[in-house]
Amino acid sequence: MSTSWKQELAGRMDAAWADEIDLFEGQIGLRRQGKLEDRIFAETRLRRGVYGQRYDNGKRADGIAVRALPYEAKPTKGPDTLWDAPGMQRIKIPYGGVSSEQLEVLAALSEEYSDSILHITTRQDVQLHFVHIEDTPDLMRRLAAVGITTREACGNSVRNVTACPLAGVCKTEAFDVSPYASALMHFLLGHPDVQDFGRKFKPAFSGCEHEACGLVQMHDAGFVSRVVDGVRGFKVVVGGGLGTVPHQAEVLSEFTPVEEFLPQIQAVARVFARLGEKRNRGRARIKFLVAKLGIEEFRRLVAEERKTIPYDSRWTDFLDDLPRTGGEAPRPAQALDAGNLPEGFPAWCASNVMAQRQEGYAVATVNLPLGDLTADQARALADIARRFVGENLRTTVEQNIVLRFVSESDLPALYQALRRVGLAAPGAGTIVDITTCPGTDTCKLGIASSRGLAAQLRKRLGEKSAALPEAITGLKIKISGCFNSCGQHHLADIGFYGNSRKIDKRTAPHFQVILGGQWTHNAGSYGLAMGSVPSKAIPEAVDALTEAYAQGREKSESFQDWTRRMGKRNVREIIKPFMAVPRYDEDPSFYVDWSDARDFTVGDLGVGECAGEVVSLFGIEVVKAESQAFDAQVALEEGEPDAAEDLAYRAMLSAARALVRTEFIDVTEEPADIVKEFKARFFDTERFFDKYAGGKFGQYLLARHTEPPARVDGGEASRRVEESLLFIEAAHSCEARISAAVAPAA
Amino acid sequence: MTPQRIAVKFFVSPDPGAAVDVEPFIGVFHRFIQQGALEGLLLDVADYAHVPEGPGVLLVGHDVDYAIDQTAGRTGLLTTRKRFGDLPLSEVVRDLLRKSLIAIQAIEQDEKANLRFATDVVTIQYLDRLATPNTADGFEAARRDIAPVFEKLFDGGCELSRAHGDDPRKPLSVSVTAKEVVAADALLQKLGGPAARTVARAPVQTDWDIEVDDLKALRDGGSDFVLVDVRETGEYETCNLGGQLIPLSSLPARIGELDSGAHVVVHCRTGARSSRAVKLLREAGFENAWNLRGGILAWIDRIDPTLTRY
Repeated sequence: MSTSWKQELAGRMDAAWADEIDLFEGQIGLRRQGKLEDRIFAETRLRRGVYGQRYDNGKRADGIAVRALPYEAKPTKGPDTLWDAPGMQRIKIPYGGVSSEQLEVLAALSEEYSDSILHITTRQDVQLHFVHIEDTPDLMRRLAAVGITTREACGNSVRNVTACPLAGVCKTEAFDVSPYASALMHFLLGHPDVQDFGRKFKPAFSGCEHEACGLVQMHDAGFVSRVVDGVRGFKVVVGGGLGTVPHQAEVLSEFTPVEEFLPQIQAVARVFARLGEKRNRGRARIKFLVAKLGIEEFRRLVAEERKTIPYDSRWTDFLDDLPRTGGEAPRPAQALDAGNLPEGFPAWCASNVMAQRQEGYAVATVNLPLGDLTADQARALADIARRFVGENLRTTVEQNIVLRFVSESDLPALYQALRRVGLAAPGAGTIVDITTCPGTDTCKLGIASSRGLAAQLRKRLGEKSAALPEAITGLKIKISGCFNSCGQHHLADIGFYGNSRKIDKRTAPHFQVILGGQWTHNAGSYGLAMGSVPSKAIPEAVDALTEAYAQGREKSESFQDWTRRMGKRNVREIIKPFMAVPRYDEDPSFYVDWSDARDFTVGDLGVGECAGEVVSLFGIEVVKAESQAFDAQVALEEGEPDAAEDLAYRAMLSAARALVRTEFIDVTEEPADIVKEFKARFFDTERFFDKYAGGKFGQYLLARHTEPPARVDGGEASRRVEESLLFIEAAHSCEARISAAVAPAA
Repeated sequence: MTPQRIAVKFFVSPDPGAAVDVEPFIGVFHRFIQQGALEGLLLDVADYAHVPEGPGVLLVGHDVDYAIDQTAGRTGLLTTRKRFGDLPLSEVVRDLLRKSLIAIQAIEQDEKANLRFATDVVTIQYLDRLATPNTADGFEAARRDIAPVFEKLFDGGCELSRAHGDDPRKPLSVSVTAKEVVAADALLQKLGGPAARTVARAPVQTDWDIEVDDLKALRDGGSDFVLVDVRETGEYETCNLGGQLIPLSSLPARIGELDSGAHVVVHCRTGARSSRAVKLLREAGFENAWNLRGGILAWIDRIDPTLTRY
């Protein structure tokens, strides 16, 4: 009998994967002995998907005060990250494809190393929380034995390759992208050309342009399948992304034949590695490089690079025998017998079932609350999948799991089997199927409880969903715990991201309301910020918004069109009554977050570890400037030059203040004070000066502050907005130069 | 062989199958952390109330997790030991039962929790597919290991049976049923070790409590602060921490002796008088005045047992 998983699974793991895990185990040992530097170890473990979790700096607010968590003194597992503090393990599931056997292993792992919960992420990954680092090598071995790797699940590398969960069964796709997603994943995994990025790189595949499923427009690289003259290929886009500054991807190539798509992305990777920003993490995603160079220049560089790459047979080898990405349908296709259907079936069928391209087969969605399922449910789902669909399971970016190739005649039996284990919740893809990031539950950067709010909204909307008009049930809600958009709030009809507001020395959790984002057309446009509402008033604000829409919409007007027609100001009026926060002695519940019992604080906010990222004070504060500049652009578009000009000025002030605050924390919010401090500290000392442009960018703020325009027209406002964007950019560079100068030599 | 993890579950009484709203446990468990109501390092609370038949609300600890678990539709307290070094398994099980019963007592004493537990049925889960697979042999080995623990615990005898069936994917589980009902108190006495309330830290006394560990850190770190002792002179002579003696009764008259801008820590014997003193000081504009929770007794218990206890 084996006494270790390493021994037990020897020969059942890919040899290279097994070696890598052994190496990682060795590195854990070295770090424990203090023989490996903490920053290096941190990046090492991140590249294996071993992430930090909230409070792992050993500090936690318990509702009364911030207390030290008395862990044993051991070497840290990264800067300010305590060894014994539990962490999160991210597990990559390429294109969301997961088998019954894999689900069973994931279930076992969650029981033995985590909290018996599998969490599906917005990028089709699986996450386990509260994992101890010393358990991770065995956890990885057990995954490797069923063909799953956690390599590059975090860190500055190629993250999970996502794809439309309907790939292969969708009626409108050009062809099934799954085998190509799989090929890309295997080609780039551990590839030398993807090891030197300044930041993470997320690829996505979609089978059709107008649908949502692949969300390629918000990805670092996106591939949309196309067939031209009988030849398979992809439209390739680059430089999309959400985050604090959302970008839509730009078209790198209208058509790249499948023979050419791997070398092309390799060329993209090499250009990004060579020219992408490395020092300033806030500017390091490829979207900033594409924006800086312009897509034409970027395209030219990629084409040049392509010529220099030595031939690699793997570019086309996979085409001879495409990777297997789904099993055979075990049941013959047969039409549904409409008689004698179980109770609840029609509602479930209406929202959770979709006909496939293959006649007689359907896709059934398991609507998971907040993306969570228990180990018992996962095992039951594995059995159900074996019985009805073979290996045809996929995780989705809406944090659900779909079963593909369900014979339509089996749908009632499938429904009953799912219902027995609590997996038959209706409403998939509707307003109750809320997407959310982990937020304050486990993320170090979370500001407000996104999951708590999602659970609350799901409960409330679920109770009355039967009575809601279809216009409302069809809306999408997405929530992020902070401005970092992991909950994809920009893409929802109604999106939220967490922030906080101070009221009389106390802090109340809030959410910024983002309305009118577009989910279809692969996330074709982003929503607009409408203002912050206290967390506890969000459910009422949602009711008010949805009711106003249901009553005020014209014919089949979409929510997005409705918000546009109403205009930002009128929509804001709807949520305005919910923006007020009662005093603490009037209603203390406003100062406690959802799913929590402690008085709210942001005092124990950790330092982010996303890709080893360190979010500085400047990083947090400059966000305000960026969102003001964003609002300024909106105002400009809406024909409000005065507002745009003023917002642009305020954006510059916020960026200047963020810089000043890195040295002088107590600077007030008075424009005069900010400008005075900025001028003395950064302008007169020439620290703000650009190597080429000199004091030009700094002068934008000083000039506008000294001489406000008497009258603002469109041109003036437009210039000011442009200036504010350049000023913010210069503030980022200035901060990067200064922090590079004070950082210890690596 | 020792498993990766081991868990025990006691069920709620009278009907584990009845619907239970677990949401109040978010508050209950946060309070347990604030009060240090359970042994060991407690980290955080996770809310899984949205998952059907899941872990409900989870109190995450460093060594032990506590969940108001609703697996298979049966609500109970699931206590999971996550690491236990080289202790023999029987010791681990005894300790886990003790921790679980202490938590049950704490929950039963909490008005907001409003749950009662039966202590005559308990399930033990071995969470390790390699060391303790869910097989007939695995069950026999487990029975040999832990039967003596339960026979000693339940005077009237007990029965051990295999729970959760023989699905090899599921953890090996043993169900223990006592022939006679024994109360949690009596079980705890048999298990030995410190009991719930003496281990627990004193309850919160003011909004401005600090722990004796915090005071120790202040002293060790050479911080600039004033320690005020509001007991009577005779008590001070019995034992003291070297604080400035201002009996509570004379504090209003002597408040001027203290600098309202200073960092002040106040203590008495148990924390009761110092709570009032801190409130007085706060009202008088002392923004940095703190109460030593549990008073000098807590200090003696946890920091310096050489002082005279009275």
